[in-house]
Amino acid sequence: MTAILPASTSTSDARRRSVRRTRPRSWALVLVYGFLTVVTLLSLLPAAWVMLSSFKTGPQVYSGKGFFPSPPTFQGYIDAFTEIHLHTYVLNTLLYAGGGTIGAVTVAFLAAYPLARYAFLGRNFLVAMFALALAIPLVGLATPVFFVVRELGMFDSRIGLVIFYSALELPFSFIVMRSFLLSLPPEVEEAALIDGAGYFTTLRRIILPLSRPAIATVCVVAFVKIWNEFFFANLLTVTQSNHNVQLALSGFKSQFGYNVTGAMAGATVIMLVPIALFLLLQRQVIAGLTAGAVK
Amino acid sequence: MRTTHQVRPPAPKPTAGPRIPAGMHGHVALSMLPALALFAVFFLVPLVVLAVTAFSRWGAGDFTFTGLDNYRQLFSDPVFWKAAGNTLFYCVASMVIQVPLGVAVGMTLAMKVPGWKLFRTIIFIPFVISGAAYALVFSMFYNPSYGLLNNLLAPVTGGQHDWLFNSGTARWAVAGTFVFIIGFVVVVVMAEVASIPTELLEAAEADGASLMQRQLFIVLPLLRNIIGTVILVRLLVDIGMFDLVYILTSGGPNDATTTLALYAYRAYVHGQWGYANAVGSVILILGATLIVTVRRVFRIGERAL
Amino acid sequence: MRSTKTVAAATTAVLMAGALGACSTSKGGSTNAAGEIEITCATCQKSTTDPFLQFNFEAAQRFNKANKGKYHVKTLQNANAGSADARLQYYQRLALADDLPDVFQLNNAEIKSLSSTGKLHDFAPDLKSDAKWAASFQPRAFEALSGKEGQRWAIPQQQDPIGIFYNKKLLAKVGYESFPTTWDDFEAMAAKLKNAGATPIALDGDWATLLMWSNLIGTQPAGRDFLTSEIATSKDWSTNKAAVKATERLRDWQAKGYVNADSLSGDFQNAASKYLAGKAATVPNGPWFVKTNLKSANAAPGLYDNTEYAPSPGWDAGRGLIVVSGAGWVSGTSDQTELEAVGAFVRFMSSTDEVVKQAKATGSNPPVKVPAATVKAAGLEPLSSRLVSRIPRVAQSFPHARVHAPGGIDAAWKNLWPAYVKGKIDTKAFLSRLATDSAAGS
Repeated sequence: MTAILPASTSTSDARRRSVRRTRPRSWALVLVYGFLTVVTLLSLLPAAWVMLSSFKTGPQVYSGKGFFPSPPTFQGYIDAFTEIHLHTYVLNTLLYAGGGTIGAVTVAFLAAYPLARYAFLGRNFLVAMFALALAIPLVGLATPVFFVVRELGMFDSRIGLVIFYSALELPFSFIVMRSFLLSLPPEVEEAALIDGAGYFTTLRRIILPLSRPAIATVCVVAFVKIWNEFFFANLLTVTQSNHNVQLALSGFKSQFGYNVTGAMAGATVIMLVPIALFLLLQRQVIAGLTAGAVK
Repeated sequence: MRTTHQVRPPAPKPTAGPRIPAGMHGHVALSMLPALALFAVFFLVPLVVLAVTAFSRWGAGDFTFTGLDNYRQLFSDPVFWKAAGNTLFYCVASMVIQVPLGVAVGMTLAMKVPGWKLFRTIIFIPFVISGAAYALVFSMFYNPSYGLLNNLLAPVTGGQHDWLFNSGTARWAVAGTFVFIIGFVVVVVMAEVASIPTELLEAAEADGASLMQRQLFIVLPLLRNIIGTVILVRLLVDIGMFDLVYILTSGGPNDATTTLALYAYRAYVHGQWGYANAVGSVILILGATLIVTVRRVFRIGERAL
Repeated sequence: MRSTKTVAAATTAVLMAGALGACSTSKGGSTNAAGEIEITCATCQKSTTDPFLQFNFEAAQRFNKANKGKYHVKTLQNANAGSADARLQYYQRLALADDLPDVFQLNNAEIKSLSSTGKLHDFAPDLKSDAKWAASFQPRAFEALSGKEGQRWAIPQQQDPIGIFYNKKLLAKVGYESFPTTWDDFEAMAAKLKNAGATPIALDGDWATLLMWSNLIGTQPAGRDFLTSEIATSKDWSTNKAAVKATERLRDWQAKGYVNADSLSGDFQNAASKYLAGKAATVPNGPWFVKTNLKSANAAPGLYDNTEYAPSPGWDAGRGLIVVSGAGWVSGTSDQTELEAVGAFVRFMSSTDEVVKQAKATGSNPPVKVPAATVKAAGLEPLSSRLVSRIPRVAQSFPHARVHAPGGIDAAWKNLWPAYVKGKIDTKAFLSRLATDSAAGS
C-alpha cells in the first residue's frame, strides 16, 4: 500500500497516452467545458460573491443591487479588526492549529514507527484501534469529551484545546504516517542499528529525514482541519479570548448591531487562510487527502 | 476541510516484520506512550463514559441509572425521528448528488482536457473552506431580500423566496450548501483513474470501443471501490452534520432541518447529559451500520492489496 | 542518544503536565496583587457596536477608580455578551462547569432559566438590610427579576417603554399625519403602504416579531394577564383567546405581505436595514435603536429627523406600551468577600449618577426614581423621552412576552414561527407546541 500518491500522473505517462485519442472531440469539448463551468460556478459562486461583497458598503449589500462594489470600501475590513478584533481569534487559531498539528504529528510519528516496523503482541489491535477512531462520527462523543476535558481542568483553556486537538488529529496523522513508514525498506535503518546507534537516535537521524514528505503532508492537512474546526471549539471554550476564528464567525451577529460587511470581510479572511495554504501546497494537500483513500 | 477522515484501515502486511531488538522494549514502549495516553484519554474514556451514562439520568449534580428510559423517551419523541430522517436525507443527498457529480467531473478531468489542472484547483477550493464560513456565506446567499440567489433567479421565479425558512425547501437549501463541494471526490477519482493500466484501455480501443464506451464500461466499473470509499468518507461527515445547520437555521423551521448531532447538542446544553449520550450512542451505531453496509455493497477491503 | 530520549520524555511530560497543571487553575483567591477584592464581570467589555457593554465598561472603570485599594472589577471578554441566541447557552454551560462570573447582566428570561441551576446569588437579604437602596427603585422594577419565593435574582439596570418607530414621510405619503391608534387602522395603513411600494412593517422572526406579538396580546382586555402569569404557568397557550387572536392577526400580516421578505431570518439587522434605507415604514424596537441604528452611518440621510416613536395601537382606541426592565445584574459567586464587592458594585451601578450617564450613553431609561429636573438637565434623547412621558397616558402597559415565558421561547419561536406562517401547522398546534417547547428548552 503506497501511502502518498503524486498529485497527478507523471508527465511521461501523460505524453504516452496523448498519442492515442483519449480526449473528447471538439464538439464534445464544448459540452465538457460547459459542464465544468456550471459545476465550478455552483461550487464557488456563493463564496466568491461574499468575498466580493466584503468590499461593499452596508447599504449596498442590503439593497441587493450591483454585483460589484460601488463604491468599493475597506470599511468591512477595518471593522473586522477594530470592532470584531479578528486578529485575536486569528492568533488563537494559529496557536491551536500550530500547537495541535505539532503535537499530533510528533506523537503520531513516535508511535507509528514501532507499529510499522516491529511485530509484537497486540500490534494489529493497536493499529486497528486508531483506524477505527477515524471511522466514528465524533460528535456522538460530545458530552463525554466535555466531561473528560472538564475533569482534567482543561475546559475553556488554550493549552487544553491544543492538547485536545493533538488528540483529535492523532488517528489521521498516525495512519498516514504509518502507511508511509511501511513503504520504507527496513534496510535503511538496519545499518545504523548495527553501528550501535540507539532507538531514538535512529529515529531522529535516519527515519525522520526520510519521512519529510509524509510529515509535510500530515502537517498541512491537520493544520487546515484544526483551523476549520467548529464543533469542539464551541463545546470546549466559552470565553471570548479563547475562541477560534470559526466561533468568531458565528459570533458576528449580536442583538445590537450585526455588521454585515464586517462579517463578510471576516469570513473572507478566515476562508483565505486555508485557500492560500492549499494553493501554495496543493501537492501536499491532495496527497494527504488521497493517501489511504486510494491504494 | 471537513471530509478528510480516513475510513479504510490499512491492511497489516502479511509478513509480520522483525521482532523488537533485545534491549529496545523500553524505548518502543516509551515511544508509543504519548499516543496511547492521548488515545485513551480522549477516545476510550469518553466511549466508556458514553456506554455507561446512556442508561442514566445524568446532569449537573445528579446521577441515577434509569435503564432504558432514555431510549424509550428518545424513540417516542417525534423530533428525534425528524432529526434522524433529516440526517439520512443529508446522507442520501451526498450519495445521489455530490458523489455522482464528483465522479463525473473526476472522470472528465482525468481525460486531461486542456485546462484540467486549473479546473481541478478551482473545484477543490470550496473543500478547504470551513462549514462555519460556508454557513455564513449561504445565510447571505439565500437571503430573500438581498441574496444573490434570488437576484439571479428573479427572471425565472419572479419573487423573493425564503429558501431557508420555508419548511418545504429548507432541507434542500441546507443540502445545497454542501452537495456541490465535490473537490475531494474529484481528486480521489482522478488519482484512481490514473492508476488504471493503460493496456486495458488500449485493448478496448483496438476492439473499436468509443471514448464514451470506454469510460462507461471500463473505467467506471473499476472505480467501484473508490466510489464506495468516498461515500464512506462523506457519510461520516453527514451523520455528524452540525456546524452548517446550527448556524444556518438552528434546526428550524419546525425542526425541518435539524440533525441527530443538533438534537444531542440541545440535550447536552439543557444539562440532560445522559439523554444526550443516548442520542450519541444512536449516532455511533447508525454510523457503524452505514459503514458496514457501504463496505459490503462496494466490496471495500475485499480487493487484493 | 540521550538528548532524543529527553525530547521524547519531555513531550510526554509536557502533555501530562499540561493536563494536570491546568487542573489547578480553578477559581479561588479573590484578592489581587494590589490587595483589592477582585470580582470578574462578563458584561463589562469594551464594545464599539453595543452601547450597553461600552457603558458597563466605562462604569466599571469609574467604579475601580472610586474604590481603589478596596475593590476591583476585572473584565472578562465574552463574545456572547450581546448575542441573544448564544448568551443563555453560554451561561448554562458555565453554570454546569461551576464557573459563573462574579457579576454579569442577564435579561428576565435568562434569569429564570439560570436561577434553576441554583448557582445565582439571591439579592433579597441585601435589599432587606438596606431599605433606602431598596426604596430607590421604580415600582415594579423587580417584577421580572424575582423568584417564586420572593428571591431577587437581579438588580435592574434599565426600565424602558418599547414602542414602534415610524417614518413620518412614508406615512404622510399614504395620508397618515399621525400614527394609527387602532389595529384596524394600522392594517388599513399597511395595505396602502404596500400599494405605494413600501414595506409596511419590518420584522425579524425573533425579538422584533415577538414585540409585535406582545403588543397584539397586551392590548386586549385579558392580554396582560396572559403575558404576566398564564404564559409562565400554562402548558397550552392555544386555550387563551387573546393569544390566539393576536397570533392569527400577526400571521395574516405575514401572509398579506405587509412585512419584509426576510422577516423570518432571525436577524434583527435584516429588518433594521429596510427601515434605515427608508423603505420600511415601521419597525418595533426599544429606545436604544436610536443610538445603534438611527444615528449610525447606515441610516439614510435625514431619516432621524423623519422618525417618530409611538406606542402600540390597540384593538379599540386604547393603546398600549411594552415596559421592560431590560437587563439586570446577577451574581454567580457564593464567596462572602466577593459578594461584598459585588454588593458595592451593583449599588454603584444603580446610583442616580450612573443611571443618568447610562441613559445618555444608551438611550435606555433609569430603573430608579430620578428627579424630573435631573432628567431634564441631562438632556436625554428626545424620541425616547417623549415616549417615556406617555407611559402614564397609555391605556395599558405590559411586559414583553419573553419576560415571563419559559426561557426556551426564543428558540421555540424561531423554530415554529416560520412553519406556522407558511401554513405548515395551524394556530392550535403552533401555540400548544410553542408552550411545551418553551418549557422544555428552559
